[in-house]
Amino acid sequence: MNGSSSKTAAYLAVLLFLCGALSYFNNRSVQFGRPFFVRDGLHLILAPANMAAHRIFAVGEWFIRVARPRRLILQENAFLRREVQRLTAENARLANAAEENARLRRLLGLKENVPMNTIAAEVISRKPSNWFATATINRGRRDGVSPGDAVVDFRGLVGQIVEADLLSARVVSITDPSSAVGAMVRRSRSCGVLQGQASNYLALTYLPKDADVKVSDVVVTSGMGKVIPKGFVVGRVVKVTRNLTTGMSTALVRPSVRFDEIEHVLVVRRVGAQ
Amino acid sequence: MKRSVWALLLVFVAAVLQGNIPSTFSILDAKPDLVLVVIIVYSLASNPISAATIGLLAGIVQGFSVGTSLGSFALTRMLTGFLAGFCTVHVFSENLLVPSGSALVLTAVCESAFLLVNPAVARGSVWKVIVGESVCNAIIVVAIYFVVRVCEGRRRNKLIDSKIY
Repeated sequence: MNGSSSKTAAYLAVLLFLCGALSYFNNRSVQFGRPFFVRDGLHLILAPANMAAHRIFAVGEWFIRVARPRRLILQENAFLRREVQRLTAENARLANAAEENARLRRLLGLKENVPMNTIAAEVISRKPSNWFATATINRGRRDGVSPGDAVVDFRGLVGQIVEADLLSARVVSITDPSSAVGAMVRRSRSCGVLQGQASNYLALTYLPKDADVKVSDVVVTSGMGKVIPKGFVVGRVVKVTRNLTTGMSTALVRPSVRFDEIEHVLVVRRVGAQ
Repeated sequence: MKRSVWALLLVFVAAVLQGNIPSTFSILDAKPDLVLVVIIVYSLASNPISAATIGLLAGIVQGFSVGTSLGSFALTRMLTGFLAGFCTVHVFSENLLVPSGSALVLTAVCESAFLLVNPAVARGSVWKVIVGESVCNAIIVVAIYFVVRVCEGRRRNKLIDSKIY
């Protein structure tokens, strides 16, 4: 080995050591939920830049959405008018149902659900790598966001906070392979574990062989483990597989939220969080 | 030194833009990896050591912006930078196919290495991500290379003009 090669090898070894050390300290800080100065410092620069880029892209997308032929706009207007009529009727029906529900709850002596502590946030960056379904939101530790908090939008569960710095936080989608959430079938209350599949579907696993699960059943969070609150809609069953060898059933679930489309979300703080 | 600072700045810009690329700019459901493109473009005109350093720093930035697998990103991007810098020393050519082909091969190598060090992500259609991202990156590198060539041509013309007059 000549002098130049050994110098290169030594330099590479130093870089590898740096890489390992940084990774170790970062993992420790994530594991114990502690801040890490390198990560926090970097996100102090990245978060405002992400926010600015998000605004610029949003203007571009808005322009593409708005610049359409008159015929299409008129069609959409007619459709929206019909939709408003339908939703007004449905709203009245749901208001009646809510009143009736409250009355029945009081009658049965059930406790009202404790109002959840939520923080509204905007998604400023989405899927920065093809391998992971993660996104960045514009709320961080300063706003009370902490790792483990659930993230929802009006359609249902989006994911969970995986790490938070001062100004922003990273959300891992329920469709990510590393994600697992306790869930149940709303109709039959059959419980299982919902796992990400790195695709647009989820797998509801660990269901008993004879579990009462049908196609188009709605799946909701079960609240097991007390990390993600109970009752958030996750999606609908599209296929059920029964394995006679293992004695388990697995349901393929289409999530109600498309991770590529989320814009505004609510961070639901964990039970007991200050 | 000046080039490395520019490269770092570009890494930051790429990391910021990466999270805002619309899904319409994807092939086989995979978006281009702009940070990796910056590493490859920089490394194709650098020595292996500075290429590996920029690769490591870019990997760290990418790992932090993804929020997970920091070590895997840093390691694979560093090795990709080193490999690209090493290849440059041995197979450099002015042909347009060289940067494009390098981006195609190096992205595939980098993402395969990522799978090796982080096998937990290997669910679903892995080949789609690798092939899709490699093709996207190869196309983007051609565009960048073309812009750089045009800018350099203009600069050269200006220099010639200033010498003549």
